[in-house]
Amino acid sequence: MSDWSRRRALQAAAAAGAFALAGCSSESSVSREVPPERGEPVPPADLAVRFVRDTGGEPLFDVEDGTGDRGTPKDDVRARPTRAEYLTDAEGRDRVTFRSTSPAEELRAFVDGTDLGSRSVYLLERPVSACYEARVVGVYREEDGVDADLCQSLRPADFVCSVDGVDTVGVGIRLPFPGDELSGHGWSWRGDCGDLRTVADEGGEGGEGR
Amino acid sequence: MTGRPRRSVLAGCGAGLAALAGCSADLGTDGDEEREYDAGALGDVVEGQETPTRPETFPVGVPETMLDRHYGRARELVGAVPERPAVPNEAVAERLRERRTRVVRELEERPDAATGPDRLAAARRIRGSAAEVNGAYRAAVGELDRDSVAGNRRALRADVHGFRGGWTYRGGDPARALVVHAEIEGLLRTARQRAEAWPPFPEAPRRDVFRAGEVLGNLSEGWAAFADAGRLRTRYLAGVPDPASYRSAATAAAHRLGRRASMARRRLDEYPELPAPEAFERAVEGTPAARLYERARRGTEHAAGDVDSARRGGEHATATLEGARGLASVGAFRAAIDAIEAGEYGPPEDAGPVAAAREAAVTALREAWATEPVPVSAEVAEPAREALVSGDFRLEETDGEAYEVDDALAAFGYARLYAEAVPDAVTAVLAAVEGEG
Repeated sequence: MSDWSRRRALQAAAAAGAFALAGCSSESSVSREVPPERGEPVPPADLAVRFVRDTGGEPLFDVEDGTGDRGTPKDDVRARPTRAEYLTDAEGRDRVTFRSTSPAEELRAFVDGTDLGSRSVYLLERPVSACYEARVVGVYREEDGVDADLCQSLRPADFVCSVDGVDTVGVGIRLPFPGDELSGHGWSWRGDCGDLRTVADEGGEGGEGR
Repeated sequence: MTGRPRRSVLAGCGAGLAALAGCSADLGTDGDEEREYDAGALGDVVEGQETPTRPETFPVGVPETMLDRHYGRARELVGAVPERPAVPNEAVAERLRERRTRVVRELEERPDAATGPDRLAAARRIRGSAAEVNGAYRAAVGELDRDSVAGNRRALRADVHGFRGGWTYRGGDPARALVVHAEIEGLLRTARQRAEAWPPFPEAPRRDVFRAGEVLGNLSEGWAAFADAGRLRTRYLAGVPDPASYRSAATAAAHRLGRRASMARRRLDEYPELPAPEAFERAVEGTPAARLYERARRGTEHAAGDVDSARRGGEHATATLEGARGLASVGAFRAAIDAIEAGEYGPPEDAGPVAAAREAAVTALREAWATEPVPVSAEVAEPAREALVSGDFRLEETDGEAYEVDDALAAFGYARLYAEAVPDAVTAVLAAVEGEG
């Protein structure tokens, strides 16, 4: 009988959860997994995702910010912030200069293989521990922009890596719509995917590129 | 409970307006936000006070040898994991090392608990943690395969099923038999839950070694619970000269008590559906009374849910005891409504009334525990003990804020009112197992 009280606690928690869900669904009819402010999820089958990794921790691309300055990341890879660009037209594409390393080349080819007349590309890079891999939880289309949700998870136990190693991971996500009317973009990154269902991962990639 | 809830009166006023526009004459919460208390004086209410320990009333003794089986196995499992696991992914190796260290520490500390069944549960949890680390390590070095884990799950489910089939709830005195078999029901429930196919064992264990470990840990805890169920039953029956079967008596008792509890709940009229601000003529928002009322209201709700789920799971002894808790929770709710209507549980001036409420709760709890048959009373009174503990916790952590004081006062109030309702509920249990009521 020792877990009576635990059961009671679980019931209370379940009730609280149900209450919160009810609150959500009264505002909007979107599915329960996605909070209403998130926008509509882009169907995973309509996404093409490419992951690349620079094990030297080098940046993959530079971005011109409009004043002629090039957004070139600092040397210390750990301190480098996540950078994301949403490419919707040739002008936007031209502001991005890819480095000449092979992962950067691969990402460039993926971007340039996209017809920006009918599609758009979400581009992101960030430092990731050598023992972790990147995954995409989902991409959400909002009224005026897109939002990418990513996380990281431990790589397989037999993968040789050092806890001190930090790589640069680049993610290209090809979206099935043009982005002319979409101006904003955002991203989120969770340190542990936990039980999250993901649509693409570095180990297996995903979407139509699978 | 002198009258019907004041829903219609307050409908024109609105709960929120009551506080703003002075709809009700008796607010008692003016300037509530400024209400502050001396945190030191509140801390003194619990400082140095012992939380009463639940009496060791379980009818079957739990000897050290029973605990040692789990701790011994846990030591073996954790001992099979190297201190510095040679796993190529250093982040995985590091996490394995941390978890191993944690289990070793838990094994050294060996938690103490008030009752034999609780001590066993603690030992099983540590055994499960050890099996989890062991499983994660074996997954990391490629020693685990999906099929054997699935087979192990099936075997545990089949054994639990077999146990239930041949189980006739034998025992001596019916009250004690009820308590022992309810514990066994709980152990079998745990075993069955740990054998469920969720979370799924990963397709590629090396890619998700900690999930693989979790599955193995669950299974180990499930087998341990199953083994304890058998051992407790054997030990219990060894001490009973002429055991009788109580299976049908327990089934009938669960039914009777469940019905009594739901009838008692229905006699509370609309109260179970009414939030505190709508239930009283007196404005109670922001007072201990509102918290007491909500706590008691939720108590009846949870108890009703527990009775239902135990009955659906075919756990007749558990359902009978839950039915008794349901009755006690209705008694406590009714007493709370009466007390609030009589003007009690307003905001206290200082720590004095809080200390007095705690003392009354402790006294009532001790009296409840002394009600014969003691093994049943201790089970039925558990929510009162939990409420007392939660009040103590509030005061240990307090900054002297009004809501904390209200919460503590409500917790102590509930502990007392619930404990006072225990003797009647225990009488109802006895009547039910003897075929009355």
